Amino acid sequence: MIKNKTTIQDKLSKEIRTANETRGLWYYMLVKHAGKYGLDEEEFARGAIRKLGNLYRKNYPDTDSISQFMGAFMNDQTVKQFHAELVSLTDDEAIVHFHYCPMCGAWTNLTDDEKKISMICDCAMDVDRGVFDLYEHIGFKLVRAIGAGDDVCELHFVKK
Amino acid sequence: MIKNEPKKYIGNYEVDAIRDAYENRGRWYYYLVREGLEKGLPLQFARDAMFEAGQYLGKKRFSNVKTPQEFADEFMTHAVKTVNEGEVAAVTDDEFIAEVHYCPLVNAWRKLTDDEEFMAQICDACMCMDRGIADAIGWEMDLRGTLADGHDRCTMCFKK
Repeated sequence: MIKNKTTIQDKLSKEIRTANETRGLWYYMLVKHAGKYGLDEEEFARGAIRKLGNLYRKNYPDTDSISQFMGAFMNDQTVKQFHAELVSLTDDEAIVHFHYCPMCGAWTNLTDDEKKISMICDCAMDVDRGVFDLYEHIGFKLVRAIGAGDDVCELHFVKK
Repeated sequence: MIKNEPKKYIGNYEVDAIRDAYENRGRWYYYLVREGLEKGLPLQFARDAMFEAGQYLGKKRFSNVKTPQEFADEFMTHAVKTVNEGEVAAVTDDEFIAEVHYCPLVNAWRKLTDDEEFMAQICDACMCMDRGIADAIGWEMDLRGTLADGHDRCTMCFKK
């Protein structure tokens, strides 16, 4: 059972949340209709979002340092949109929890099919995997996901 | 030649932050649409997706709307007025005309391609969301020019 409840309610965060929920709606519908037109939904979504992640590499610093990377990753909007919490940080690994996902917030209003939500959530996380395709010494692993029914999204940033 | 420069709220932290979220949504849309086209789908897949997204939003937000003034009141959110520099151009007994003077989606797309014809096409497909909103309550949306096709504003006429 997916649990996904927002607790940050300032005006700007709500406006941006609406924008992100709408992004989730568009993504959901584009994947659904690509499927209706005969493509494999997962392959289609992963193809698009991984490339987008590659583009987003440029939003982050050229560094091998996990702590420097986290400084850029944990920006104001990520913290507020995903209720993001830096759970631990060492030279070799950072662990972040997301306590809310606005995209998942949209999907649970669109379908009861939690298996489908889990799939499109994991494909959407290819936006992060795509960033780390282009880091030589920092890797990324999604260990838990709200969209898969877990309490939080747990993201590991590790030395590679 | 596309003209799409912000004229208001430049440097306003809140509006800039929401514009960034819209640009992000625009890049997700662009990459998903392009992936579909590269895999051989007609652009109609995106038009169908956005139309259904609009029908969903239309039912959710506009189902109690009876008059063009009520439509305008619901459509012209704080975000549309500021982020999109939107304004109510006209309200009559039969129609509501909205004008939008800046589009963060087009701004995002221009950083990804120089192909203005393609941008006009994916913009028109995106506007199927507004057509879908109108359709959800039995209305129509007549698009009378867009920033992406070289006009100085997007003009949407919602008609009963």
